[in-house]
Amino acid sequence: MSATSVLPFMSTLVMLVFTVSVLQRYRARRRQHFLFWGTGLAMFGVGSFAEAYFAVAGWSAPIFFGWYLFGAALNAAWLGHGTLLLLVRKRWVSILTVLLVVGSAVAAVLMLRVMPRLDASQFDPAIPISEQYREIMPPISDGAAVRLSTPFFNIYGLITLVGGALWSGWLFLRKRVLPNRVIGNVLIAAGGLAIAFASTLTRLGYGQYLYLGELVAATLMYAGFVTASAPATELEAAPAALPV
Amino acid sequence: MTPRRGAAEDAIGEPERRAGREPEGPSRIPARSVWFSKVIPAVLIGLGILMVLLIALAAGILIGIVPYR
Repeated sequence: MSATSVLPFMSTLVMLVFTVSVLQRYRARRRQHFLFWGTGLAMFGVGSFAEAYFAVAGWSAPIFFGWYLFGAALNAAWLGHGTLLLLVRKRWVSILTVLLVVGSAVAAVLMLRVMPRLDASQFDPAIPISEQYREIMPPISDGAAVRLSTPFFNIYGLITLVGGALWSGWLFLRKRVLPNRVIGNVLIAAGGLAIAFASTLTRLGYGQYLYLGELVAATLMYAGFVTASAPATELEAAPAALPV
Repeated sequence: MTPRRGAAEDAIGEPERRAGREPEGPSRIPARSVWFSKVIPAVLIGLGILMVLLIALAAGILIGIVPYR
């Protein structure tokens, strides 16, 4: 088995455990940020699973749909939006929520429109999909508008997920409380940056690092979540969200 | 929607302190910790700089300044 098949399988397993943990919390507490995190993590897992599938079972158009829409385009934004929902409770966040959902639906429609024009003859199972998707999808100039939407979702996710984690970690550090949350947020931020860096390299034409970046990101973010979620002492209240 | 006050383990990023209470024990960052006084702040700043650079790079790709394949 090569790294092309092993790494995404490992990422998928980590993401499966992570997604179940977060969605269990959503089921128990019904807080919106858990729902968006769980959805984003599930999307991340779909992307990893798709990569593993391509390496083991070969080409599949529906799997490519899932890989690009959920793995490449949407997951970062949904993860980051969950962090925004946690940190900020203002009306404008609800507007962003609507924009994200509508934007995701538009991206899905754009992806569906591209599907009949995929060139499956360009697919090579020995090469990571991240290194060959450009040959499979038509160019932006030829109607693949969904490829234009990906940077917007990813930049939004980078700012909210990584920025939010750094901001939270900094605030806990400044107040000198809950060291587990400082460390947890550092790990989450590092994980977000790992996948952002790997995704940027992919866009620049160096897709061979994406699978490793995904595994590093999945592991760091899960470790950060577990660390930050460790039970606090009874002296800690559940503080109100930050006014922004 | 009124923010619900529940168990603290809900929150990964809700840092306000209850006024007038100083928590002690494992929930408090030690005053003389080199790790939390020097290392973690440097890591936070470094990660922040990396984030800004990545955002700039992504924006550059988006508007066509940075060439890509």
